Amino acid sequence: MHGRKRVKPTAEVEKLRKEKEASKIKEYNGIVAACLEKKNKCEFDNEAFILTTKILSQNPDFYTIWNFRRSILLNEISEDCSDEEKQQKFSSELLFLQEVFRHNPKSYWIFNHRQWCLDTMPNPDWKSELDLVGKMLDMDARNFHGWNYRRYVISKLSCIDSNALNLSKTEFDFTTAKINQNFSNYSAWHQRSKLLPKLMEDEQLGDQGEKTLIDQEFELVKSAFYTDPDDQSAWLYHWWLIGREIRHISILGAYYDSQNYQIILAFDDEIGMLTPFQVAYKNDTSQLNIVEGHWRSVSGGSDVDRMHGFVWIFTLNIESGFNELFVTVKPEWIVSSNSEVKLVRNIQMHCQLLEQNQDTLILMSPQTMAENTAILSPPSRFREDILPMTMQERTNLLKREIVTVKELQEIEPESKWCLQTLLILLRELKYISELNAEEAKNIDEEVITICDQLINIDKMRTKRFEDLRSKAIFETATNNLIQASPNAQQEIIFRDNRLFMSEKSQLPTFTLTNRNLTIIPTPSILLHIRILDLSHNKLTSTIFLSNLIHLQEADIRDNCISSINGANNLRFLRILNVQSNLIESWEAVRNGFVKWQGGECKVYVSGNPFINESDGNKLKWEKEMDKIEFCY
Amino acid sequence: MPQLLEVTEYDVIILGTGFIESILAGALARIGKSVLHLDANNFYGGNWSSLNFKELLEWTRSIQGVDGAYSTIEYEFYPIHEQVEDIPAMLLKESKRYNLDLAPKMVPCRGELIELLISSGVGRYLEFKAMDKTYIYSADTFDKVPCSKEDVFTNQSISLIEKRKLMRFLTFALDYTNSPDTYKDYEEKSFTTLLIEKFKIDGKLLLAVLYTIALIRTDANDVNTIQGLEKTQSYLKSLGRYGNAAFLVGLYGCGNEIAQGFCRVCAVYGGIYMLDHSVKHLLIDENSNKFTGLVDVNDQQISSTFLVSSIDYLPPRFLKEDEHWETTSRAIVIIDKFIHEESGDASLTVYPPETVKNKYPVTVLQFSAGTQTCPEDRYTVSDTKPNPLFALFYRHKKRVVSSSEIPENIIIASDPDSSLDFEEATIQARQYFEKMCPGEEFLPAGPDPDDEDEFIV
Repeated sequence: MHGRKRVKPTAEVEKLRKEKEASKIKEYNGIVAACLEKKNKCEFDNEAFILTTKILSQNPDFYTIWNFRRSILLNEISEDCSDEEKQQKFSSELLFLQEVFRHNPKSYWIFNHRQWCLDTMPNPDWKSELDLVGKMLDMDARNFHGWNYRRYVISKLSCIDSNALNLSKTEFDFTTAKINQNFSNYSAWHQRSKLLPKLMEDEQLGDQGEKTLIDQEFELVKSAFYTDPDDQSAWLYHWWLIGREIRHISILGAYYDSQNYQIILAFDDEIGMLTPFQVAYKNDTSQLNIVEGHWRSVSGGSDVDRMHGFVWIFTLNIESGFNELFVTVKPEWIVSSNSEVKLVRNIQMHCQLLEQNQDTLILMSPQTMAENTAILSPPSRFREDILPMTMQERTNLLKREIVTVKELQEIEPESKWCLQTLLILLRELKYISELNAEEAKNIDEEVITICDQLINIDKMRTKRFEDLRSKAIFETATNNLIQASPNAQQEIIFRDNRLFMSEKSQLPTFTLTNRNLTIIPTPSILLHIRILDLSHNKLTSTIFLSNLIHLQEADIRDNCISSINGANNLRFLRILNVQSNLIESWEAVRNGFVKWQGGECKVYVSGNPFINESDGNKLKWEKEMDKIEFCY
Repeated sequence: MPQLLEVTEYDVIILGTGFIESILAGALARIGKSVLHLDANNFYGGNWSSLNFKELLEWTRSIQGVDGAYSTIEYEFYPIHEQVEDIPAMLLKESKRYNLDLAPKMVPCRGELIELLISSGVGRYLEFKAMDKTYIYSADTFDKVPCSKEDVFTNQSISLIEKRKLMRFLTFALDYTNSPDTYKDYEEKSFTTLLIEKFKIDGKLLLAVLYTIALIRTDANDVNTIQGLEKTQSYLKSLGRYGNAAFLVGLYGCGNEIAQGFCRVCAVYGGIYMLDHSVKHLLIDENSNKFTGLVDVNDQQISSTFLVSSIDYLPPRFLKEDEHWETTSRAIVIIDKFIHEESGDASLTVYPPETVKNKYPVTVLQFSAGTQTCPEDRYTVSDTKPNPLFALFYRHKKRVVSSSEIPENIIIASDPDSSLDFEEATIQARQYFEKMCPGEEFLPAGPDPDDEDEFIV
């Protein structure tokens, strides 16, 4: 401090200091003990109050003592105390807090106690609280306790102030001032995000005024990230301004397997089932009657795993033929894999069985439930919370932002925030607009290029970008397997359901090799596939296989798989090639087949580390699993 | 009649209370040397002084026709003003509220002087204001120059792309020695070339970087890459220490106040001060060519081991007859209104070369009442242009002395230079001290009266 060198304390000075400290500690402990004793005995007297003052001045994080202090204060004011006296009492309490705050500007308990005082006292002066918190933030504009407290004060003020809008405007200007001083301030940006929707409520703004307000926000935040592209606070506010549109969960397809009395449902998200979907038939009077049975997902082995998945199977309890079946799925019955996707409407699938139908698998067609037409109409407005806009406006906004960020990226090719923002913008653009296949493919390709750059730049998050990249690659590669649903915007279904039934013609095949794939993001899209080639990638798990229930041959050579999973229920699997992976033990292979349901199957395992292991176990397990033939 | 001295033998006699002399006075007394500090003027600061209005007029008259550091002296009152009838009378009436620097300078927030002010404790005697606004002139307009990150963010006169280019350069320059690859190919080239070719900075922004951030005081083409980067870096390092400003300006004038602060240290450690005390002649032993003492205005003979002197006190024969002395054209202008709307207490305005038929950049330091250098503006003027009330023009030479003839035990403190800061002068003072007292500590901190604890935990 003050340009002077710190003198290293000599042993003697150090000893003195320690002694001084030890006596301080002893004194403090004594006060604490005395205070706690009073608390245990419920002695709410002035002496106890003084003790709490002493302790809290030194250690404001001791919340037990704050609680005791509140008990003492309540005890005091409960005995016929005039409002004036109460006011007096709490005013001096507020002064005490101000003093403690000086030394500890970041203690939760000080703010907690202050709020309690103000809420308890007869005439809290919120205006002066606002001045006070303004001063706190002058001292440290990034103290989030201060910002938090400010929001509390404002919420109180807006209750008594008739012009809440004006208050929001003043607050908004306050955040502008703080951001101008130093825009690397999460709290200030956050406060802004809370205020902006309130400003939008101003009826005098009009459509143009609202647009101008939002455009100004974009200008402000652009100026910030052009000034310092490494500062994440500005980027995060930009992301908030862009917003994320909720994506709809789709049922890709539903089938009735008349041979096995099963219904198969494929979703494009890994959903959890909260309430079993309803299966019903129509009786003579056209009323729906429940059909008994049980649902499970095809993924995983344990019971918990079976309640999550992409592909679901309903097995009827009675093996009887129905001519017609109805499956109903309601949004409240499921939980989506993340907050960005959700099911927005009730879906009813209808299946009519025809005598002459030779196929055992019959497509169920989706129907609209009459009472829910309101929900069905597709949302045409985006970013409802701040500035609702049409799809065209949203598309224009996204394209405009893409241009801005790309301009910056040209000067700052190494900026990871820039690239990540581009990823977000491109993804939003892809999900909301009605793109043709070519445009969608271009976006995916751009995403792949950006991910490649990010993998090199941001080494700490390589895996994340590898996964994102895999997602884009997979989406491009499977584009021809799905199509937009004719029923609703933002929903997709299988493009060609006949693939599923075309056993006699060429077998449905899917090949995606040499692309550094790390994950299969939506395996249900591959539900029809019988011959799969994912060789020469970087897949780490085979768990996705469980969704490909018609699979006959799988080539997963030269990946990064360390154990075999998801193959147990693949009844038609004849060949599984996992050569040149990272499987380290026979156990990791065997565990993949312990509940093997299928017929004879060849498993190619050479080129894995475990091959060099001694063959003792190998012989034993080979005997155990007579249907599985290990090949090298 | 000037007082007679009781003691006539000293370790050091110092002539002139200019900036360099005063630092030396403080430093020498601090380590126990006996110091006699004389000034022929009745004010502190010599050629570095700040004067009130009356003193300024007297000073102007005193230097006219004298063959010293100043030439081409002209001053003028502007008699036509809407509200004021008699401008000279008014200015003289409020004379004491002016502190006009003869060689106006600023203190970089990080640098030689500020560190010395802190470490020596002299800073405690002084008050400063931040000089946080910079303007650049071009084609009849003034633009506010974004100098710091916050300025760049809030500035609305430059485009987003320019913001990025500027920040890129500033970020690099702050730590340029760590990325030698960036400027390696430009080391032999001019700083301007680096900015244009490597950082794609051009137009107004280029001028702003050259003349308001790197603060180049000559033709920018003569400044090479390394020099430019050094200047930029020292500017950038000054930002953020005392708010969003690279420079501080002293209250009540700068050079004079700082000099007095060091004199105070000297006095605290036993130095003797006499102002308005001139010297008749120096005593120099002709055989050994050594300074032995001097004869003062009272014909008292005073002796010392060393003499520290401002050039003003030296016999003319020591002055090097050379026409190549660095000359600065200065003007002190009193106006009735801010030049720029949001000027604040102090602002810096730069006219790049060729903008007002100038070969070198012209720098304007504007001070207002907040810096205690002038009275508050009490006129309401509707004109958009400020009206001048008074203007003084003069040329200021930085004189050089020929070293061979001068006795070794005379240390000569130079005149103020044309720079905007005291950095070179501070370094010079330190070097003189080290030459005079090798191995001694330069202005160590005195005991702090406020400091109770022996160390800071």
